[in-house]
Amino acid sequence: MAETQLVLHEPFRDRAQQREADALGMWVFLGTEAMMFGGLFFALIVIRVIHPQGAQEATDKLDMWLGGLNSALLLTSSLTTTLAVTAARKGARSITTGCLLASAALGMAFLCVKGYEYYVDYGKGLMPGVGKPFPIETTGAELFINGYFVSTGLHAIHLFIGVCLVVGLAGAVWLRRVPVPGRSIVVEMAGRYWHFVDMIWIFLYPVLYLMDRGG
Amino acid sequence: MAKVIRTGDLIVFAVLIGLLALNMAQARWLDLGVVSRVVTIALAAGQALVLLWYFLELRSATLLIRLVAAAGFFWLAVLFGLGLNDWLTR
Repeated sequence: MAETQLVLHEPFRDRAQQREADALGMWVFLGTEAMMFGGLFFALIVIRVIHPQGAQEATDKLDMWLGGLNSALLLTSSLTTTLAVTAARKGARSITTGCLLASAALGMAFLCVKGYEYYVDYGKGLMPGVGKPFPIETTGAELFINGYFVSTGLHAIHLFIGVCLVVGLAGAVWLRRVPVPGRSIVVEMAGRYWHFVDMIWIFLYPVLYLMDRGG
Repeated sequence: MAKVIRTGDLIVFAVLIGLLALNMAQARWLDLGVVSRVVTIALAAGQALVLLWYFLELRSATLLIRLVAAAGFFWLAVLFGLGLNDWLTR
């Protein structure tokens, strides 16, 4: 049966070489993502260095518990993604599908919490350009909050793409369009993207919510 | 399901959650003064390294893949190092 065989494409001489080429392509892509988010992180750190008071007052307006809940949701989704990769390698089709869907559900839960958080931020007047006037006078606070919206918004877009990818993949695995373990590399590479998006949040959360928190 | 759940993955997950809890606790209840920022970033970096090594499977990756992954972080280090030495030393 095709789905139990490991698929080897031209021009690779063996499966290990093909696997390395797949992983290499993914890591180069993740490197470009790291560069993009790196610039945003750098901007946030610079705002913290040159406007410490404004950034601290802005940080105190953000809810560290909602952010923490979101961190826990994403870390759990990384675990279910790892389980999906293991299941795909072992050819367990239904478990792979289930674990991928669990990751997507946790990702959606993250986006719902984030959406609620944005709604609360809107109520506080933090959202740029809409709603009440910005509540903090101190220089740098509004700049920092704008950075918060840009970086969390860009991360949310990445996560939404990840959710779509993982749901589509779950369907493809279930329908044997992506047979496992033959093409488990597809699940592995989707998993890499998912973990990477999780890693960006691992840094965004402390830089935005925890650093210099006044209490 | 049992054959898919490996103890190692659960330990890695527990470490990741533990480091998150630690970071939240120190930010909320500890006043570490000047080293506070360093501690916050160090705990996050610890989480990221665990994630990279185990869940992103750099542990079992070839040297080439590890080099490519490290190159991304090397250039980020250049960005932060050269960029911040201006603001931090003025």
